[in-house]
Amino acid sequence: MFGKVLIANRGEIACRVIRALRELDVRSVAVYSDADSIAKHVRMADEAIRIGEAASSDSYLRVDRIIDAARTSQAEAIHPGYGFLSESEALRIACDEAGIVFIGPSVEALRAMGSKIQAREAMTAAGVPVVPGTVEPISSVEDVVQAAKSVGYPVLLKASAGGGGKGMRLVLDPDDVVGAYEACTREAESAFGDGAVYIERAIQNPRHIEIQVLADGHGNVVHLFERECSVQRRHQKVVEEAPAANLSAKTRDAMGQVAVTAAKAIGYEGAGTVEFLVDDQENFYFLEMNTRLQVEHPVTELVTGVDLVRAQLRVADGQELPFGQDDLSIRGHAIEVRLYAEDPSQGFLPSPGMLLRYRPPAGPGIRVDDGVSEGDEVSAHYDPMVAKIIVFGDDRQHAIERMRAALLELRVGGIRTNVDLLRTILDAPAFVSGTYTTGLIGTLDTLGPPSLAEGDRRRLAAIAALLHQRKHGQRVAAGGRSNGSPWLVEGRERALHRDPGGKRWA
Amino acid sequence: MGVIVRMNDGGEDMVCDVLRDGPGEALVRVDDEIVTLTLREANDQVLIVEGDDGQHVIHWMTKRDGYELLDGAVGVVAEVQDERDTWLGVGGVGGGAGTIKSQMPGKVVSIKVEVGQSVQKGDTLLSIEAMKMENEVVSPGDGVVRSVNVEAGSSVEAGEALLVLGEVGDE
Repeated sequence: MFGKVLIANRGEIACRVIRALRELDVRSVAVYSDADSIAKHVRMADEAIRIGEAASSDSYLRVDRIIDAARTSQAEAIHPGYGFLSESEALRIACDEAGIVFIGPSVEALRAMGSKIQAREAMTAAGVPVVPGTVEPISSVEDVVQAAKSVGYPVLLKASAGGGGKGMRLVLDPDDVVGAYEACTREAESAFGDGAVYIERAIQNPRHIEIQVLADGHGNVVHLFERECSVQRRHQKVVEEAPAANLSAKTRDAMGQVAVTAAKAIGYEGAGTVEFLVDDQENFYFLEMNTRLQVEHPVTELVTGVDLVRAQLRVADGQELPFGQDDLSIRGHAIEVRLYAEDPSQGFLPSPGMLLRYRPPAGPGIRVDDGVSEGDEVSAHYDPMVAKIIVFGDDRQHAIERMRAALLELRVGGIRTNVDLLRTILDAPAFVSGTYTTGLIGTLDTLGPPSLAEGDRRRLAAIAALLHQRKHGQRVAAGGRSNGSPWLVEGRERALHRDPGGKRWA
Repeated sequence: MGVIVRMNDGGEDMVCDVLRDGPGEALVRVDDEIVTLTLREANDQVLIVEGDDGQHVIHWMTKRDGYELLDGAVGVVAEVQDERDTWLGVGGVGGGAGTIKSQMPGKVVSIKVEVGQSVQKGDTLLSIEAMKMENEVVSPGDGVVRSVNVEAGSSVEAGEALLVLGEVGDE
């Protein structure tokens, strides 16, 4: 096993990796930007190295600085986490050249799945069903009109280099396709440096179900069943669960096999996820493969008992997987919610700030993966995720009850969060019955400000006034009364029966 | 000293006055009702208030203009402003007509301004004798005197309008 590993990431995933390293008695090296100099992941690591200014492009996305940090600290391996450089060919290549182990797949595998267009081609060639759409990137305006027509409306225009729901446009009307294409390719160019766009048929209210795979360097590839991630807001996942709410064993097995086939087809090593769209007939279609650990990996860990980060480290160390497909099974049910620093009253815009109060839930079956402590700053520079709250239950109903209780126990103050949305989701009939699709959040009532009963709001107002009085009460100048002046505005004592300052007033 | 509390639940502002703050209990007038706060415990992070429906463990945090309160799983932000600081709805809590009202019964001693006069924050507008003390009523902000509703020697009651201030340039 490595003696020292550098984590090229921040926040909760960096903390997660540090814990796995600590269990294996491996020294951890954190990297940080100026905005993160005292962040939780930095405090947790054995060593920490500054890699630049606050902006990601000056720090966490700087391959050169990360390699330098690894060299300086003599780290033998780099764990890239998720996001940032986790799927970067440039980082992989730089690691290979520097003789540092990249904890993840080969350049070829990264490349094969990095371009969504190429991934679809490779999958089609491997006999994996893909979402109907174009195989070649769209090259011109005429091309997009023709291609969209043959794929069949409604269509989704997607950036080939995109991911995580970014760079997508839904087109319902043929008249809109040209404008959508031009905007999409522009955005893709500026966000990902690659303006290539492809088209998929838009499946109405699909379910998003993904399969976790694990492969070692000895030819062993297994799948660890599925996660359902259909609860999304603007293509950003909000709630995930394992196993899927309602999926037949037959489809689960079929999808698992297809995922293993996909991983084998590209010579995959490490932990990865094959994402599918599933329609209401349980037809499933390859969407993309994420060649890294996913945010929602904890739900798989809880229902399979497999520590995925530990597995990643062992695979990268050249070890063989200690279990085969027949050794794996699902027990119980897990649900994860993502707590984001977002303001629901401002359209869920990020709401950074100081975490004045943060009391996460705890107890049996409760796991919280976070990258912040009370008193930390939730930064405006990065993803506004505060914490992942994950619960494990004997079955789905138990998990739902546990999550509701956990969300009631949670206390967050100083920033706005999406916690009310999370509670609403856990109460939504479609979620509870397991019949929800990616359209769920769109059907929920737009969340207004907290609604309080009259008695409760008076009590809170009274408390606010009392706190104010206790803080400012001594400052009140007017009157000689302990409760301050009865007067409406500031006054000066001019008692008729007293003689302040020794002067007599007429 | 009265304060105006505005909460971010979209409801009406409330005028509050702490009438008593004693060990274990505080009395606060909130608009026209008196709220009894049976305080079992308090420290610099949490207050525990006994209610008819059980205890309320309130996490509190100081914010720039007031407090953030977490009452169980519900969170609110309460802006608190001294009534003397409210100003005409421009920024500030309470807004409204810019009418300076008498808080208690009293008698106008002298009026220092006249209609049309520009005033600045802190200028003395009038002085009133109440509760055996003479108090100067000062302007909470910059503005122009729109009307003077009383005269020297007038007796005034609680809540009675004394004068009205308008924004500069607001004819």
